Amino acid sequence: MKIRFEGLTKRFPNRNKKIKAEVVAVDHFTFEIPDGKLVGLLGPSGCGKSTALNLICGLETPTEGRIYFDDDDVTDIPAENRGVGMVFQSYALYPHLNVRKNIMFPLQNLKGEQKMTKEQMEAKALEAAKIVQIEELMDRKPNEMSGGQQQRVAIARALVKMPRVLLLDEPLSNLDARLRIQTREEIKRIQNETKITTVFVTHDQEEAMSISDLIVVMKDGAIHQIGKPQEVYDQPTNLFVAKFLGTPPINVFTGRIEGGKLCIGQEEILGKDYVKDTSDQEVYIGIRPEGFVLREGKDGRLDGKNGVFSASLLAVEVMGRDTSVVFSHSMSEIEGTRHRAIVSSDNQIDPESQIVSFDLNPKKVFVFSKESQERLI
Amino acid sequence: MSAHVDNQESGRSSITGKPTYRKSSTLTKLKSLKAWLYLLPALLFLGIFMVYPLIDVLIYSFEEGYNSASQTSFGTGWFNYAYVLHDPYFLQAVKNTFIIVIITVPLSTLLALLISLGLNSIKKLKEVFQTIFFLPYVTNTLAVGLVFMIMFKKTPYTDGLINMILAVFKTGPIDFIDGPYWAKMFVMCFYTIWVVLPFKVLILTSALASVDEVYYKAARIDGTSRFRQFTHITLPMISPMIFYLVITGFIGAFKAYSDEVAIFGTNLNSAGMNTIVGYVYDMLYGDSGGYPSYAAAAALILFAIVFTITVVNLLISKKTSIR
Repeated sequence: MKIRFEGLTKRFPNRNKKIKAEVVAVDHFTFEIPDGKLVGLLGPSGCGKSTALNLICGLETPTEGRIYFDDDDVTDIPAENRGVGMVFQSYALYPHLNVRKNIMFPLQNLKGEQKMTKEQMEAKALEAAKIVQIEELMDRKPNEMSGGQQQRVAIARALVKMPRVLLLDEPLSNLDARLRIQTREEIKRIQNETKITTVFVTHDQEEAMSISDLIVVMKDGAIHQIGKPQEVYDQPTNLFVAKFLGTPPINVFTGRIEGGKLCIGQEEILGKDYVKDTSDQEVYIGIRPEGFVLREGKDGRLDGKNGVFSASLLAVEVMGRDTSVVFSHSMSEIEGTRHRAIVSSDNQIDPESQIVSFDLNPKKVFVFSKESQERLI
Repeated sequence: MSAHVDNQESGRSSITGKPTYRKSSTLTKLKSLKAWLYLLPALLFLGIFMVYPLIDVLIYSFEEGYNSASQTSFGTGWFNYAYVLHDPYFLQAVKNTFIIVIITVPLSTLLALLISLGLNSIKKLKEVFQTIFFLPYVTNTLAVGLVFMIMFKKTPYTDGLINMILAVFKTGPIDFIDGPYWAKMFVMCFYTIWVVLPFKVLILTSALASVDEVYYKAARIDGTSRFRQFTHITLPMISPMIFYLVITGFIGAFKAYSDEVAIFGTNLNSAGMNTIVGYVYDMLYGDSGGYPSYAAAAALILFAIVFTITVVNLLISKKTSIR
């Protein structure tokens, strides 16, 4: 099932009645979610991603624009008849029903030709329970299960009627760290097995990056970038996307392009090969933590004493596989930011030294216009 | 500061260290003694004002012709119970009480549920309507009773408001206050329901509001009809509150008395509208008063009835309980 949005817009009246202006939760969405993919809607809280999900399932009606499932216009079809499955952030399992009855609940609503006998429903419920591996828990009540198990029941309930689209609202936010990693792989596996087009909402970029086939980065109701996780990470279209993705976050400095050279402060960090013919202007320069490279000195040591980019060393954090170099820089976008570079653990940086210098990997350096914050290079 | 810490340290080690059996048993004894000391004021009050009178009533009910002034009686036995159970006034009171209970408890709960559902589904003026429905609760029962009496009463000068309305439909006039039994019972039940409604509406409105909106969202996405949402989600979720209202409603209705007085005056026996509590009161203080033994026996019969019904209620609610 493809999901297609055409100019989809949702405006809410402002909570504060004195302000006349409406809040735009979803602003002119036009894009297509391909069939059978796992898509992550990613953005900070309040960016309208949950509203977008509610528009797909029909709990909210759009102010403008249309939604299509394949070629069916479902915009005016109520939630009851859209045939979507949804997993809520709080799971919304009916506390008075056991797992079996919870999973069977959607099937009992079917009418007319689709109506099933009790045996058929139980068989279907068991089938769904097997997909999420909770078939031994069928007689438990929701409050007798852990968060992860409840999550699975909620997924089973959403899957049991074989929905055309599966929607997950912040599916991992109520789980602890270990369970979160396990469950996100589980979601990926279930999606792979069922091939149901799945849309999930998250504010956690790591979550979105790890399992999505496609990421939609949103802010203030607008789509900032759509693409495969690696693509969005490697080629951010603007400063917001660059900042939102990646842990540790990207390091942003103010700088300028001057005579075909990219400069931060007095230092020329990248030359003509990189800048090409971009005109001279004030810019933001984003450098991924892994974009900092140590250059070998004359004595063959990787001691952080040679390089085009110098900064004040604050700390060297050894993390085993690699090392995190914490530094500050006078040209930080936000003054006093503790920047992080990730370098290989065979470095020989002296933690006592005041200054550290790096070379830069041009692929990990992004230049954004200071005015529009759009990507220039 | 450091001494305090030391104290804590040593205290902890004496417990976690190696407590001998004797040591720990004296400790628990001391602890339970302390607990009893804290409970003492409440226990004293309960003992003097609850337990002692209860036992006293039990004793009176078995003492034949007990006289509270001379503190004497003729003997002991089941005589008081036999008398009360054969007293036509008592039987009338039991009948009245049961009719009021059976009609008003289910009807008022059902009405309250409908009103709360309505209140819960409107958006505009919700608070206004909630306040209006709650007003009877803060109004004096006797005042309300008087208003009811004036509305229903037929006097030589006027037929009363209700009869004037009935006249529009070409029926009546009916004397609701001094007329036939069913008319009086109608007024009584009408009044009782009206008086108990606000509390039930209040409880059920908050119960409905406390059902998480997300369940209805989930149900809608799964294509659940409104009716099924109500029977399979709303009702089970608020069922503890409904059971609470039914149980307290039964107990309250069995103990009805002041409502009857408010409408029919103090001479309930002659109006044929007495209740069990009214009978007990009459036996103690009424024109036929001065019979504490009969009053005690009647009170214990009422206790037995209420106790049985409450136990049955609890058993049913446990069986259908959701959590």
